[in-house]
Amino acid sequence: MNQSAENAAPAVEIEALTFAWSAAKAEQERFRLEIPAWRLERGARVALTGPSGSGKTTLLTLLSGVATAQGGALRVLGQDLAQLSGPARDRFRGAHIGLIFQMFNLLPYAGAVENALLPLHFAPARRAKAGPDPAAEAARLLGRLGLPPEAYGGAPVSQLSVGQQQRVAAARALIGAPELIIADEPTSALDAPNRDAFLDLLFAEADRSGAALLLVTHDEAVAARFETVTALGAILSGAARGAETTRAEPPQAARLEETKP
Amino acid sequence: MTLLRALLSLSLRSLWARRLTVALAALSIALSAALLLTVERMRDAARASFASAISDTHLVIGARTSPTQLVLYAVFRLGDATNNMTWRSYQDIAAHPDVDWIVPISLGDSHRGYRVVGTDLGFFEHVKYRRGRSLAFAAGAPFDDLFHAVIGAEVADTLNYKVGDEIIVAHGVGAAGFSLHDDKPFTVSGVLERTGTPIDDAVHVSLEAIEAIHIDWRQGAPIPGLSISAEQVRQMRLEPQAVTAAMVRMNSTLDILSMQRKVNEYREEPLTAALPGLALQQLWQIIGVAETALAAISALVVLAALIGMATMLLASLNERRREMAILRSVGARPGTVFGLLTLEAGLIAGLGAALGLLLHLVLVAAAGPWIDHAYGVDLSLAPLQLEAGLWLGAVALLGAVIGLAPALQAYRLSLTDGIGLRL
Repeated sequence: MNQSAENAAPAVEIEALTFAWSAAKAEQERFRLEIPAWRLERGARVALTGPSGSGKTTLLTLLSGVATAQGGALRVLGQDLAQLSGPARDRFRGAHIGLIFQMFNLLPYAGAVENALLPLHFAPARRAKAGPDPAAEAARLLGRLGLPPEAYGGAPVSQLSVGQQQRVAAARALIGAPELIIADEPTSALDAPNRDAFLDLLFAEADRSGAALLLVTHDEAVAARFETVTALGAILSGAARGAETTRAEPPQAARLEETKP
Repeated sequence: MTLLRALLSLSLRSLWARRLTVALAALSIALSAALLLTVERMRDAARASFASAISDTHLVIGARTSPTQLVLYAVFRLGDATNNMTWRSYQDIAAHPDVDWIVPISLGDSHRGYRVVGTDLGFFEHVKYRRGRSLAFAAGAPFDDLFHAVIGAEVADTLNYKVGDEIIVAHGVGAAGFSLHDDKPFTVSGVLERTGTPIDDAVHVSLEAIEAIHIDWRQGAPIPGLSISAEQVRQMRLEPQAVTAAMVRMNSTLDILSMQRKVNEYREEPLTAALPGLALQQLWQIIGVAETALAAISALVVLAALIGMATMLLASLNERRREMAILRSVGARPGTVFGLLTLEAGLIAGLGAALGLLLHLVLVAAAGPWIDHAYGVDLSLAPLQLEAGLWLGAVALLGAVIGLAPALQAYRLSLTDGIGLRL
């Protein structure tokens, strides 16, 4: 992939995508996902909403290149994921995508810094971007997220509080400045003050690295913080294509009007 | 390289987090590896102990029989001689200019289950054990009276004999129920230091004494009506008629084969000259099957322990699906997950092997003196060989190979789970 094309291409670009789970998994996920067209610009912040079981997680699975679509095109940073081999997609995910999970998914026995450094082992490109001393970069991120490693760095993360674990998960997604950050209901375990603080830090760090942020949420208060809120249903019907999004739109006021009854 | 280091670090952290089950798996591998090493070491040491009993002896000569059998009954007192060699033949060989020394062995009597060995003073001077060590007296001195006896360390310890004690020799070699030479008791004149050879289990008397106690016997029984007292027998000329075998050392090793040929072609009577080393080689071939079976059993024990480890890893896989999904989410390939599990199995097996080596060394250091004392097998005779290192390497490697099964399962799980967002 050529560097200028990568810079020019949107973070995510989908055309006529069709996807169905293979027979083995079809039992649980009995639906097809069809997206006419959708794009996520670089540096954009989009909250993705939708009822449970509507396919949000399936979309994230496709975006992260764990599963590939049967038809159409899905380009992340200009790279058509279907064109890559399985291992190459894994490498691509490691190099360009930061994932934050609802359940954090940290290695319980490893410390905060160790967990934050995890993606760098699999992605030399992100390792290079993390600077000469990746551990110091992990410490910086954790510090900015209110978790100075001198206080918590060594202890296994299983000993940290839920809010602290969430911040470690964020640091892991942010380290090495991935171009796309995907978060699946990352604030569902947090109370309101912690949730707001977490989002502030997430936005600040995403802005700092210029990453696009796609965040799945059921929480209207979380969605209200985003400049764009897109329902998965609208994407599937073709009503939301992403391209019409304007970042100039006044973020909070507009959305609050729309979401409040 | 950094990936490998990261995987190793992750493996170690993960193993540490599950240290109890891992420790148990490693311990069972350690026990089996220690068993394997100890069996090998015991085998080598047992062989070395056998060889040590005939240190310095070039030839063992006796009546015509197979060399292995001759060495077994003459040196190790295993089995019985079917024939003796005549005293004339013995003297003929002894007179040969190329012979450095010759020591007679006359068997056939016993004392409370221990063999009585008729020999001469040269026995204490010439016979060596363990790479040339000379026999030494723990107490007393060699026999210098017709009815003196020198006993081995085991005889002294077990029967609680000391210098000056009186012993009665029995005719034949069973423990009980034989006719006793009770008219001619012996006095213990010396006790030998422990050697770890059959010498420990023997009562040594002079050839003349053997002749003396049999002077009023014919064909294994006392001659009725004939009784010659110990005092009377001292006045008689006691030249032996036959000996069971002779241990011979030549002046030069170059003379060994020519002497062997001369003895084997001896015209006066059919004799056999055995090269002790060669005879033992044949013995190892005979008992090699049993040794191989023993080694195979310990190898199977190792295999069982390794399969136990694989079972442990397989059982823990379900709990670890989240861990594998996490690695996948940060860019690890299913192949990396596979490698991680294989590495883990290799580490556990390697740890087990290393612990096994440690256990083996502790065992040898702690039990070695006792084994030497009880069985005459000196473990220090067979120092740890390079082979032991190969065995341990093989255990670790086999562990990694057996770890392929859980690793393959992890690979499949991580393919279907993907980054398993809600696992």
